[in-house]
Amino acid sequence: MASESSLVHSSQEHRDPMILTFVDQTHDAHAAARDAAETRRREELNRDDGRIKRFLRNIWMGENGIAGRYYFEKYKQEALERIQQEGDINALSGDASRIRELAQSATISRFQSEYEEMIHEAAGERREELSGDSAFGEAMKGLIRRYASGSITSPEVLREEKNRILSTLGAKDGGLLSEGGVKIDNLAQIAETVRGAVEHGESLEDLLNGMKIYTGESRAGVRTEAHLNKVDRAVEKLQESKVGSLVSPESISMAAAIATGVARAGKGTLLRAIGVTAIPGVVGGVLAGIRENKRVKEERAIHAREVAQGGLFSREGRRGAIEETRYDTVAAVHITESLTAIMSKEEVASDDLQQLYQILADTEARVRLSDERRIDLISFSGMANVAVERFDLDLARARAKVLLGGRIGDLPEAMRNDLGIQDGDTAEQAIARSTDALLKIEDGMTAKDRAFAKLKQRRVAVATATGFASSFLVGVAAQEAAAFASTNYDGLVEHLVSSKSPSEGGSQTMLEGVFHGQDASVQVNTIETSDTYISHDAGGYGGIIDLPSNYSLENNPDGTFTIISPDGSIFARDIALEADGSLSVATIDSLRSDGAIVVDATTTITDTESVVRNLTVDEYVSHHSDFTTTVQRDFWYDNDTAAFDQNELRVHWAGDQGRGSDGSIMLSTAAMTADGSYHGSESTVWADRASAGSLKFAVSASIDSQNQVFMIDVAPDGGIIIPPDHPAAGLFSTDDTGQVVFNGAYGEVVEIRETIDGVVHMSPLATMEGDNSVMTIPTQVTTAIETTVPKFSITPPDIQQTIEVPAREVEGFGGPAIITRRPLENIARRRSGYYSQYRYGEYALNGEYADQIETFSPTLRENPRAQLDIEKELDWYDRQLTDTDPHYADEIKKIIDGIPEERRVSNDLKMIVTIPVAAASEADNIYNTLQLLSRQDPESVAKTQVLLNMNWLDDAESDPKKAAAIQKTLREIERAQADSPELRVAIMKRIYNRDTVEKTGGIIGYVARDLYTAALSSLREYNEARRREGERPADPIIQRYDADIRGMSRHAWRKIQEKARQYPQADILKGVTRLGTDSYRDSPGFGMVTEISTTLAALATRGGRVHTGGANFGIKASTLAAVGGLGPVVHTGVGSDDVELGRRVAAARLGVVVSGRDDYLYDYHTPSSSTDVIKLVNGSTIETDDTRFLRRYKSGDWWQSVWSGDNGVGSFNQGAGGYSPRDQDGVATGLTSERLTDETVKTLERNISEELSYASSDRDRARVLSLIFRDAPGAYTLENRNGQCVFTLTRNGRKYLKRYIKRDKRGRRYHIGDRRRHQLYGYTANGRRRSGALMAARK
Amino acid sequence: MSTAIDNFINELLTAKKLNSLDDGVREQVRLDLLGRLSDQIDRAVIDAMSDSQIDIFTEMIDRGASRQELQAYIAQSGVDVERVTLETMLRFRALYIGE
Repeated sequence: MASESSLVHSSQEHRDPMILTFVDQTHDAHAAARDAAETRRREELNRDDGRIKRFLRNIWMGENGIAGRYYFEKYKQEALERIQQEGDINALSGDASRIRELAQSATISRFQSEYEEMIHEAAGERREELSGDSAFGEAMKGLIRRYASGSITSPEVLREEKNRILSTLGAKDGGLLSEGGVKIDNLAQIAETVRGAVEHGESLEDLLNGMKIYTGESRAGVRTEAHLNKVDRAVEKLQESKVGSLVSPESISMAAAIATGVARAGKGTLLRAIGVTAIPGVVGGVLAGIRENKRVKEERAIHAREVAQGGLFSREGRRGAIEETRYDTVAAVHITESLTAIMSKEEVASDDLQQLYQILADTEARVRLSDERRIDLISFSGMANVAVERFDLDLARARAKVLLGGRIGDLPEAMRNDLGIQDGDTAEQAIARSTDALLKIEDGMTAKDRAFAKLKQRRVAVATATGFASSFLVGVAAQEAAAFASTNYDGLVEHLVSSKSPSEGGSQTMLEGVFHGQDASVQVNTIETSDTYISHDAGGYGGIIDLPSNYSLENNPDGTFTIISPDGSIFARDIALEADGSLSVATIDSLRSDGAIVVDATTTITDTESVVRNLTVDEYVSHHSDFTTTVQRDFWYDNDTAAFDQNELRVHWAGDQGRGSDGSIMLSTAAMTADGSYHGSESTVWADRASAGSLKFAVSASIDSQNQVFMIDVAPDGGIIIPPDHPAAGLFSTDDTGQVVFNGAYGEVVEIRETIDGVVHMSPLATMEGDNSVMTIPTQVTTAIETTVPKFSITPPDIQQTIEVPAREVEGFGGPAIITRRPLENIARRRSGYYSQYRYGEYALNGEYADQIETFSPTLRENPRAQLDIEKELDWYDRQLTDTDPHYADEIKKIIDGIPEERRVSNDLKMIVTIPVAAASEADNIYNTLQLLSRQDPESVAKTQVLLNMNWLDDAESDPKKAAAIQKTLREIERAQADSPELRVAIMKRIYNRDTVEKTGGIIGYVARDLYTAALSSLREYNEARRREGERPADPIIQRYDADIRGMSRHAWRKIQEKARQYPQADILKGVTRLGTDSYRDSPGFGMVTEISTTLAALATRGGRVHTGGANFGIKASTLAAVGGLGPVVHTGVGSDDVELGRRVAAARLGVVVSGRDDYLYDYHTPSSSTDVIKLVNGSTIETDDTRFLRRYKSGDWWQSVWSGDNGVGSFNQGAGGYSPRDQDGVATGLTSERLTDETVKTLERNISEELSYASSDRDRARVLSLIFRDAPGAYTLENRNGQCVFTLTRNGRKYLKRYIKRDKRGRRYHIGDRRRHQLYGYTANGRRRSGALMAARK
Repeated sequence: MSTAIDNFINELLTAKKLNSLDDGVREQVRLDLLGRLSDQIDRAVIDAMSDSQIDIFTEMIDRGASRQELQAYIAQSGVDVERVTLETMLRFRALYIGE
């Protein structure tokens, strides 16, 4: 046990004095967290759940994704928290806890060692011895003292107390220890040792006083660090150094000028738009290139780290390419083994020393370069093994140097001379003289760097181009899309699909600009002068300016005015008016010179005014002409009466001295006599005339105007009233006595006779003579006043408006570069212990076994023989599934939820039958298989759920033939469901990606995993429902069949269920699988071989061999859940669906080493037997298709080698890891009847030999051979050649075999093919039907 | 240099519509941008070096190499400083103004 013993030895070496060691692994923890985050993100990105999902996920959280960095940091933080929580940098390695403990122990041991090789200072490791009387040292010693004295008994308390001291004193007094982070130590071991020593009588204080305390900081992981870290470190140092900018001012200046120029180029133009659209593309491309440049460097580092940690990968894709640039590494274990092998020799010869020297020289160069340059030139077998293997290597190096140093002189002389090695050289000096190794390694590195530079250049170029193209296209597409949405943004596509005219004043997309761009132009618009006018008061001088209605006038404060054109411009500014409000000639000329028509429309306005004037009598009469009447006196009724009565004078004043109360002039004729008025023959009576209205009082203003009189009515009573406002009243006045006086010429009482030509003819009856004193009379008169109003009509000319139409604005848009980046392919981590087990057979812990144990439920881990509680195990399984792959768990749950109720068993579930159905190739079989199942005993059928995984590869859908076959398979299943509704058949349809399944070896592992997971998930739901109803949970058998069953035991399910009841502790119930008995007639040799195989398998199962090959076995649901189903997805090819399950059960229940696919399929050598674990179910036989096997047999090979992983005829490795139709590539063709020739006998012997070689015992061999050769002693010979059984027919054996094939025991011709078919399926003889053991599928 | 780089930064501020900033604030923003840009250029130049060149470069800083020495080393390291600087500036601009 090299590693572990080395550690033990190391600690023993330092037992005196004891070394209490604390190692700060915070730096390693961060590196491990980064690794874990990379792995987690990569695995999520590579998850195969459809291209679209993967693409979208890549955009979101991919390496170039929007949230890519966030997820990485999140995962890193989560990983770091887990590492800190567990205090173990390998917490996420997936390695067994024992392995991880060993790793910590190795690191502690390195830091305890006095060998200088153990501390890798160049890699950043440091170690320091703490003073024992430091506060930290005292505290730790005190803790040990308490533990040794028994005051602390529990290791947990010891740990808690230690943590308390670390947190309070660690960073302060703990030398190299930092605050927080991850630290490992050997306090518990030291405390335990001290306690033991004290119990054996040693002095506690002596032990403590002699104790050394080391603190250190480790670099326990592999060396390669992400390039980015180096950049970060260099930038940090640069900033600390105050060196300033690395780039010269000239370079920055030049770049700034160019960058600024780019930004300012041609704003608003097509050129600019192209720039705006393209520059982000350029920038996007540049950014993508920069990102790729950075990422590809990171990828190289990540890959180097992962491979150095033992990662396994396929040399394809990105991994394959990057692997070509990885520095060559040498396995640490290989170097250690080589050095150890030499040092272990009893006598180390000179040649051995030379070899040792050369190994050391190479190794030292590798260690130095690795440590100094943070690269990996040494590899390890697993993440947690790094510490152990590094310790082993360092120890071996140190010891080898000790050996070499003591025997420098024994090196071959020629070599010493060549290298100049001196006798007195130390080992270090001697090694330093050889530079070949270093140069060789560096040459190799340089070559890899060159390869990497090319790879990087290529990747960067592609990324840059992709970045540019995607950014440009996104930008252009975004513009065109926006153009549809915006009314004033015109796009080319919009232009093409719609006939809309360009938007007014809108802008164009870049494409539209390219194809329909519009340059700047000049447009002339005529604004016509209106023919309607509006008058404006202008200038405040009473001037009026008429302007066309589309012009306006603005009066300025200084009295001038301005004419505003319809377009807002000023036609004439600050026009001044003359004092009379007119336009001056100069102004008019000026306006006319501007094209205006100016018309002088000045007008005179006449008005009247009322004034009091002293009018002459004539004027007065004339002024009141409306009140005067033109008269002619025809004659006077004078006083020619017989008696002089003076009637003609009898007009008297009336009223108060001739005035009425209202100021009127009052007179009266009442004093006149009726007969006093005669003139000649004419006479009149005043009273009559007055009553007739023809008696008037005519007032003459003057003598001269007596033909124009004021005519006043005389009332019938003779009353004459002249109103005060009557013009005639103006001819009267009042004297001093108050008597009214008539100042006119005459006041005559007249008879109106007639009116001729407007002249009233009258004859006076009486006359009052006035004093004719009136010269002027003040009179209110109205006079006309004429006013001149200046008015001009100004008609400006039409406006010819010149409009500059700018070029249509072309808008660019720089789209973001969308570049998804394919991550590195997943890496399969080789679990720690793998090589160790191989190399160090004495290792107590088997790595693979330990690995598997980690995937079993806690119940099984604690007690492999535990009786399992179905609910507990299902809960654990579900939790595991959800924790490790929540997407998958959710996916399966959705499938389960989608199963219709009528297709589920609702009560007393005893079995869940799982069948993979390759939809592209089982169309002709699945109906028959389901029919056979439906013909089982009805009570068994009622308790059995059938679950089909109808699946196909994604590329099958593009193949019309396969697509049709898939549809047919579905129809056949539906037909079976319709024909046998009592059979509860649930279908899950699954499509698998060819690339994905091929990478891990095939599809069947995925198909089976999905089936088992679905079965367990549905059972969990079923049991939860039962629990709610107060029923006990079911722990049914999960039975596995293939889709091509040809025959089946009538009561198989009843037998299985009975067996499960009878042996409740049994984990696996296995039936018998027969192969194509209908081929026996044509291929009797093959028939005999499969009979032997079937019988041997049955015997092995009966003997308790835990093996689950062949598609006719069941496993208890609780067991299936407890072993974690099929375990992690590693190998998914042949055997991963059935054999793997038996391996896991054997490992869980029996502790049997299970070594994965490298193990041969039928590993009879493995002591994996227990009749408690597996039971043979008699009466549960199926017959299945034999096409593949028969073809292989006919080719001369052992028929079971179809599973061997080769690519031979009928191999399951053809297609996607064993997913080709069985008749593909002529698998089922070219089969001819077999005749016993030398060649066929040889094939038969070979096949029987192989079968017998894997028999569990001689007894089984004898039993199986007796089936055929019982009656033929000496028919064969058996030899054991190096563990291989060799079966050979003798001459008699051949003869017997011919007879055996053709005849029955009684010598009747009865071919073995018929015999077996009749036995299995019955026959009809003499009209009677004899039933067989099996039901045949109906054709 | 000052004019070209100032123009570049001013153009950035204009494009970002930060012209109305108070003079004092604007100056502070300008200095911040200058500092950030300078850091990014330095980082980009270092990032363009190979791992081994970075190791040597770091060693040079550790032993107190002057700026001239470091610039000379970068010049002979094969890094296209002008291109890296221009790319960084364009990237800086694109990121800053979100164009």
